[in-house]
Amino acid sequence: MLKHAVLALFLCLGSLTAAAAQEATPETTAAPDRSGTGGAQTLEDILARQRGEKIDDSFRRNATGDPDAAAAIAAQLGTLGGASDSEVYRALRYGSADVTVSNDGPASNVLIQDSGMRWLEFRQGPLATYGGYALLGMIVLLLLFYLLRGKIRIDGEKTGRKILRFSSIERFGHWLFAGSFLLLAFTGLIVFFGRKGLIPLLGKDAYAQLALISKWIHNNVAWAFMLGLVMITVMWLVHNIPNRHDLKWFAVAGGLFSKNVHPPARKFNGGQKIIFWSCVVLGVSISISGLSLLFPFELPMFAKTFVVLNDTPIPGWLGLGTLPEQMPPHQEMQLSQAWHAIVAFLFMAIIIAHIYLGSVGMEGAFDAMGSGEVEEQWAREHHGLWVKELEEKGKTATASGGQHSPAE
Amino acid sequence: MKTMFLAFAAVIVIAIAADQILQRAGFSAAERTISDSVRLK
Repeated sequence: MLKHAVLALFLCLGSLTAAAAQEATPETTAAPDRSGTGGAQTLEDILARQRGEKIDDSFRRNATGDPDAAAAIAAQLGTLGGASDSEVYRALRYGSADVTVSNDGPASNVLIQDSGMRWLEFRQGPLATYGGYALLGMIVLLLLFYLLRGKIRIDGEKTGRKILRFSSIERFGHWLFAGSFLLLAFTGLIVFFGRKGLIPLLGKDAYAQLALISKWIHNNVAWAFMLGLVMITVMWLVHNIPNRHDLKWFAVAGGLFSKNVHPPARKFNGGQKIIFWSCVVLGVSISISGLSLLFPFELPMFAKTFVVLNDTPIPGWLGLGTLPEQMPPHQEMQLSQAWHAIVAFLFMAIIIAHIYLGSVGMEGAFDAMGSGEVEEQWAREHHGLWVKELEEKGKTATASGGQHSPAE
Repeated sequence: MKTMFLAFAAVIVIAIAADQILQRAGFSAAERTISDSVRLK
């Protein structure tokens, strides 16, 4: 599932950046004869564009008039200048017009920005479709898993003794991260699918209020998410460095699909390490793109990233050609939004599986983050090496409710 | 469970504090895309 999700991520990025590359670096094909239209675009140009072919649009892009060719100011038609209305609008559309506006905000001199249509079509099309499929697909997979495997029970006999698995500060960091993640996920989905899914149900007025509240929550809870990310990364990084035991864990799929199979694991097993590193990598990526969105036009990152990527063979491997190294401010924001959403869908799909296994899917798992104390037998089955390490340190399990030595 | 609810309370406190700080920093989309000569406020 994860492999397919990563593939989908690359495919989505590929389609988006290919579209961006198309605008910035059009491929040159044989120049058609435009003498019949006086140099303007021909029917073949229009048909080629409608077929989605890459065309060299420099004949339009550069046809923006020539102020020096204007008639003298006192001559007949002199006050009209050297550029026609069409040429002025063409210069505005291709971003080459010398624009002066009263608003001094960032990107305020961009009056026409047609890459926005590609962003809108991507957002309403493949992003919404495949993003929705990813979330629903994960839920269906988990339902199937539950029907086939049932709840994963503690195989051995329970001892009645408890081991402290996560300290208060660890649980605080986890829930800070998890609580903010859930709020961000729900509010993000409300904003993303609102027009299609909620306006027909609630009406525009009610949805407008909901969207406003969601936006406030999304923008401000993001800081708690980032703090939680820092906390869990600092606290658990050392425990999540891959080791040889993980190979044994993956060889039997962690025993998830069979009873009485318990591969050795220390504090975190192979599956939990996948979740941890997903949280760190996706969490950092979504935080950076989120900051770029939170501070409009202040933190453009895609052009710089593409410069670095173009020095590697990666764009070639993905069939993207040369990625655009310069782009208008709004396009930076659009790419940040698209990337933010792509990462969010992947992140949500992974976390749905984590929530399932950490709650209804596995007996005794929630205690680790609920009270912090887990049943000794559960710990021996899922984290046998960790229990041994504790015993070697003289930190043994105690009866429920009794005093215990800290696990860490 | 006490820790979980404490963390959830911290999420709310951080969000309110972030809202106040961001408002004072003038980084809202509205603040960034208007100027005195455009009457959108």
